[in-house]
Formats: sequence, C-alpha cells, structure tokens
Amino acid sequence: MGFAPDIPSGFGSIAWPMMVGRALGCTLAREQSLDEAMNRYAQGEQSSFAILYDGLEQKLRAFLTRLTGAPAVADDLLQETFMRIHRARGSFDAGAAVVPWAYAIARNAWLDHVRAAKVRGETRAKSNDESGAAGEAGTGPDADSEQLAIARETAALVESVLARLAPAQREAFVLLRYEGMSVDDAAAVLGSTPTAVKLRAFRAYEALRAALGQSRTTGGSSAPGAGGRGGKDGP
Amino acid sequence: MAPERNDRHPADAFSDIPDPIARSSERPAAAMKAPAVASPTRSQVRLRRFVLLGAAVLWPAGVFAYYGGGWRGRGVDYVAAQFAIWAGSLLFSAWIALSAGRRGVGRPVPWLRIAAIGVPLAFLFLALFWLPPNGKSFGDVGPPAMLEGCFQIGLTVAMPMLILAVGAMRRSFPSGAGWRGAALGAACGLGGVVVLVLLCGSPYGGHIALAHGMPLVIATLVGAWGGTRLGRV
Repeated sequence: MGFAPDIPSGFGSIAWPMMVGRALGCTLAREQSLDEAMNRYAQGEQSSFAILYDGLEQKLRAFLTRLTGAPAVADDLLQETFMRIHRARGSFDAGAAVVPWAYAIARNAWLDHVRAAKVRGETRAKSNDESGAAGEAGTGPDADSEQLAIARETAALVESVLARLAPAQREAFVLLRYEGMSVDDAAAVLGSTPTAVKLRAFRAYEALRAALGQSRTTGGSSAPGAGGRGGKDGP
Repeated sequence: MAPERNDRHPADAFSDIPDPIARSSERPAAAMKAPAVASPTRSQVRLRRFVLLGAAVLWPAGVFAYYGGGWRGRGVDYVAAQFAIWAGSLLFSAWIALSAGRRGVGRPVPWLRIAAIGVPLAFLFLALFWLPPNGKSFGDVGPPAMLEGCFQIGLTVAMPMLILAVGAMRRSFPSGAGWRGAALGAACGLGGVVVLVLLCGSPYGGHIALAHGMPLVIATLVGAWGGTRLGRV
C-alpha cells in the first residue's frame, strides 16, 4: 500500500483500482510534461533537452536493448536516436506526442543499423552482458538460486528466439508486450496497419510459446523454429 | 495460452512471455546537454516549408503560363469535371502526406496507401474508361509526338514540384516515410495531370493513360524513394 497511504486498509478492493488509476495518471502527467518539454525544445529552448533525455532515456534504452540484444549496441543507437531527435526537433508538431515520435526515430536508427550490418555481412550481435540475461521473473530478493537460474535460462531463451525472429515480428512484439503500447500507437510507430502489427506480434508470440513449451518438456534451452516464418515479414 | 478476447491489451495477452532485460540493466539517466550540432527550430522549419511548398504550388501555374495557358480541352463539362476530381485528389494526397496526424508520426498507413496507390490507379482506370467527348478507343494512343510532348510537360511539372516538396519535408517523417513520400509524389504527379487536363486536347484514352498517367506513376515512385532517403528522420 505504499502507493496510497491515505486509503484505509479495510478498502483494499476499492484501493487497487484507485492505485492503478493514480499510477496511470502519473504516467499520463509525465508524458504530457515530456510533450511540453519537446515542444519547448522544438522552439529552440536548449535546456529542455535535459528533461527530454531524462524522461526518454530509460524507455528508449530498454526498447533498443530488446531489439538488438546487445546493450553496447543499444547504447550507440541511443546516442544516434537523440542526435536524430535533435536534428529533427523543428519538425515536431505542436500538440503531438513525443513518446511515439521518439520510438519511431529509435526504430529507424535500429533499422539502419540492421541494414548496415547486413551489408557488412554481420549477424545480430550476441549480448555479452550477462546481467542482461536475467528475466524479470524470479529476480526479487526472495528468489532462491534455483528460481534465479530458471529465470535466467528462460530469459536467455526468450532473447535467443527474439534474435531469430524477423525484424518486423520482433519490433511488433516488443512494442506491444514490453513497451505497453496500444495496437494503434504501435502501428503508427511502425508505419504499418494495426492488423499487420497484431499478426506479426502474434506470430512472434507463437514462436516464443513453442520454444518455451519445448524447453519445459525437454528441460533444455533450445529454441526451435523461431525464425521459421521470419523472412516474409521483413521491414 | 493464446489471446482469447479482443478487448484485452496485447501486453496482457502476451504476459506469459518473460522480459529478457533485467531491471538491473536500466541505469539512471545522466544529466545531458543538447548536442552542439546546429539544428533548425520549429520557426525555421516552418519558414523553409512555407517558401519551398509555396514555390511548389506556384510552379505548375508557371508551366501552364509558359505553354500559353488557356484552354485546349474538349467539352467544358468534361474538362471541368476532370479538373475538379484531380485537383481534389491532389489536395487530398498532399494533406495525407504532409499532416502529422494525431500522434505526430503521420496519418495511418491505409490512408497513405489510398493516396499513393489508389489515386494513380483511379487515374489510369478513369483515363481508359472515361473518355473525352468524341473520344477514341482506349487502345489508341494517338500520334507519338503528342504522346511525347504531354509526357514531357507532365514530368516538367511534377519533378520540380517533388524536389521542392521533399526539400520542404526533409527529416520530417518519423514513420511510414516511404508511404508518405509516395503520397507526396502522387500529389506532385497530379499537379502535372491538372495542367495537362487544361492544356491537352487529345481525344485518345490511351494517350491520356500513358502520357498523362506515366508522369504520375513515376513521381509516385520517385516520391517513395525521396521520402525514404531524405524525408525519414
């Protein structure tokens, strides 16, 4: 009940929706303040960049890390994204939302990176940061070492399957599952239709489910057939 | 478990897939200053758009005047209807391509596809089946010299318009850049179509489809390329 200390303890069933509503309200207020900061930055107020960076950095870093699977590459792409935001700030419309705009730019930076890597004949960089392989499940202070090991293995499996998916499926799934975007916003960010986004995300989900299911039955961490349908949906 | 209800948020439906990113990898943001590289502010971008898009609007009028202006089409009703339809389509395509939409990342892709694919296809279809008064069979393209002349006028109108428009919208398309560029190209191609509706008196459906339609198709394709190369943020 740390969110709502002023709510009586006997009203738990009422308090939860209120807490969720308050958290959503905080997120909306934060995004509105970011929109205002971007608006001022577009008008030439240099100091607003710090507010923007503070508000967007973690989201974009997580997004890019999920797409690339390599924190070092994600760091480079994050810098590139903020540089692009800076160069294009004048084209940001008053009243627009900065979060989908910034995600779309981050995605462009990633796509350019993927294309450049393809030209150089490289494959997707493997994560060399072991801390990045631990999942959100079972990483709390109460998790024992076995749970932690299972969570790490599962997270590594998810990461390896994501890596083998077609970029279009991966980005759709990441935006919907991990970034919490609506289908319409994800479609706007990806420059695609809501139907196509749902289909791509569902294909990614099926591949991930199949890999996780097989891993549970065999007890291993193999990821079969993850990219089976991948080639069709390339960006 | 597969998603069962359409009203659920996708994140809920996919929640059984764990996040591969550890919370510990999220670092606190360091205080950052704006990059030292110069970048145009909104007022500078607006001025650039006003000048370049204004020139793009004036260009077809200049070409029309250069070729003598006036009216060479056949039948007032036919020419007026054609002019109204294609000028309206031009405005629609330009609006779809240029407006940033509710979220600031552009209009939905189905709308862009209507402007980029639907409008050129509609033109080609109508050119072949909606013939001018006393029009000739749509399989007949008429004299080759006339064909070449109209094709050149169409490109002369569309290409400079497109260059100006893409220059105005440089680094302005965060998503769907190819589609937005194609819609912009279609709008510029329709600029050529509108001028040719007034200038060309050819009764041949094949002539209209080829000599008037090809500049529209070419401008759409070049617009898609330009949007991806120059318009994309």
